Amino acid sequence: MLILKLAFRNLLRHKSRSLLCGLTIMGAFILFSISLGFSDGSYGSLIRMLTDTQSGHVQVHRQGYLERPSLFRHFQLSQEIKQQLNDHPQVQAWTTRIFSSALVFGEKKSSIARLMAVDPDQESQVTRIREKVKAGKFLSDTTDVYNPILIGSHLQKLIQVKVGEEVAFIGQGADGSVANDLFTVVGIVGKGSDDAESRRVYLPLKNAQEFLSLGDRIHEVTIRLDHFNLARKEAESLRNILNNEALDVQPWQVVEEQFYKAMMADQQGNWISQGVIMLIVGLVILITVLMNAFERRHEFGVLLALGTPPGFIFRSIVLEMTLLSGLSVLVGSFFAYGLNWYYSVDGIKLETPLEYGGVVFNQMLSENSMSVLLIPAIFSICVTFLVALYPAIKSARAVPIEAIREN
Amino acid sequence: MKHVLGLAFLFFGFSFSAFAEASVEELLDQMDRLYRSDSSHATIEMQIVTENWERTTIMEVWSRGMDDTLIKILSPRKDKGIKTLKRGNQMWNYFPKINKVLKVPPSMMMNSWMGSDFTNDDLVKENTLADDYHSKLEPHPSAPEQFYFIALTPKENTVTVWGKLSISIRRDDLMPVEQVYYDDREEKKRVMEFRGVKEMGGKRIPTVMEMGTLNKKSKTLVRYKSIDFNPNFSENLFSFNRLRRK
Repeated sequence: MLILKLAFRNLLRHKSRSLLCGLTIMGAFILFSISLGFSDGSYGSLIRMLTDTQSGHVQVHRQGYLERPSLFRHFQLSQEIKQQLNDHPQVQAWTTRIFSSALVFGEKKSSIARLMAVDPDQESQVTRIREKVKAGKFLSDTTDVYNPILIGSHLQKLIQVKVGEEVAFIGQGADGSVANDLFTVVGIVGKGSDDAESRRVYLPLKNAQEFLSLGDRIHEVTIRLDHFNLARKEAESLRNILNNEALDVQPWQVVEEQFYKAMMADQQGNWISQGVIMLIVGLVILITVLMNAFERRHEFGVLLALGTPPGFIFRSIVLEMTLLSGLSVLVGSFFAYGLNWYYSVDGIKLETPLEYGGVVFNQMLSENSMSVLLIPAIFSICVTFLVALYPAIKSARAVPIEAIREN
Repeated sequence: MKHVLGLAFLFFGFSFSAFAEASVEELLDQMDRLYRSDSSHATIEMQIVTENWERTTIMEVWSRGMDDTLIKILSPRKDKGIKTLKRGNQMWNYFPKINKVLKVPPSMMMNSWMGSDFTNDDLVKENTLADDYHSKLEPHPSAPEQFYFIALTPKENTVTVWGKLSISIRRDDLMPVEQVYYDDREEKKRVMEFRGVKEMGGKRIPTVMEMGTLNKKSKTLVRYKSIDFNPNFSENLFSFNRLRRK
């Protein structure tokens, strides 16, 4: 207890020195926390962007569809499955989809297009497709339109069609027939050629089922959970609940495997840059602690000359520095939390949007979580403790007369 | 060339006059000559069975010589009115629902025709077997006393994906029984069987043909409903401009 009192007293005795040291440690801590916040935030926002715009959090397919998607790998969604999905407490919303491709003909030009058929009402609850409509109307907002479709902006430029115009589709039907029909463009989605939706055509599920001769069969159920972090656990839970060997229930990490692997590799690489920041933080703390300890060599010499045991001096230095570091981290946490919160709400806008694994994002967001405070806090305190050992040993072993002479 | 014994059966009738012992040249010549009916008009049913789906289509087929063929789908209702026009070695598909005529590009010639086991290429080939293949009469592997067996290998300038063809022909009435398509490594790829020999349109023909694609586990059955040889039809039936008409 005495040593703790002395440590506090020492810190308060040289207020300006302690303040300077504390501010340095605090600055280093905040830097590390914000760096981690942006790192986690960027990945978090990427995942949200991916899951909110296309994949959802968990998907259900017929076995084998994910490995080799095919028009013929479809399944029927029974009432029982629908009820099980509706009753699951972690499932916020779910929707059904069909995928295919077709030749799309405008008045003068044609192109191959990826078709994504959605249930307009349910899809809006799972993904942000409605928000992506930049011209015209969303599928469910149209009435009395024959075969309404939303066309991706890139595709729209390619085949030169406008909202209200008709396009012709030719594709393969699930019964082997040549699927062909006319469709009406009711809206344009996507911003550019980089995002996935700019190259797609969205059409209502019912129309696609008729066009592709699929009856009431579908290719995919997309599920939205409370948070993307729950995906693996809830996919497992849904797999057990559905208990259907013909169906494959997978989290977004498996559905978007390429994206996830690239992100994990990137995250590994990112720890190198975090390591550099940790090194800088460590060096700053080392210099601060050394400066603090060596400035007090005279004081320690006097204490040793008066008969203070070297062990006491050692413990005192280590405790003082660790205490100072703890206090700096505590105060710094408020600033770090505030800054991370600010940037998690209103991130840094990017002049040029970045494309990552087919997902385009235009602002860097921070993540305000416990880990972005805890990791830098533990790191800062541990580093301070470790780097304080050297000056503490050196001071405890000092020859009193030499230490007194050093001033 | 393949269609001479393949889809050619769809469009042209044939009849053989049985003869005691024939040379390979005579057999091929007889067949080629018989396929070259001046014209024909047939109604056929095509049943396609695959691992994933099964579909039956009724079609009306007009042909003139080896060059011109017009196929119009009568049912199912969803496909009604879809037409395929073949002129020489060119081919177009017409889709009435979207009022579009699409030319089948050379790159798609080996693609399936209307989801069947026949390729577009089967339809457009216009040369005779004798033109495109070296032929050799061999003993039939299992029943030499019942069947002729012709082995055909492509000539140097023949454009084909097949490394070899073999045709089995009944000795008694000279009706084809089976045609096998092999790849370059002499592996069987497709087998066409001929069944249901009966008189139709004044000639004895196999009225059922079954084409099986071995690696796809699918088959296409073609059944003649009726056939009329050398009927009268309009001169411009096979014109491109008439394709869009009902």
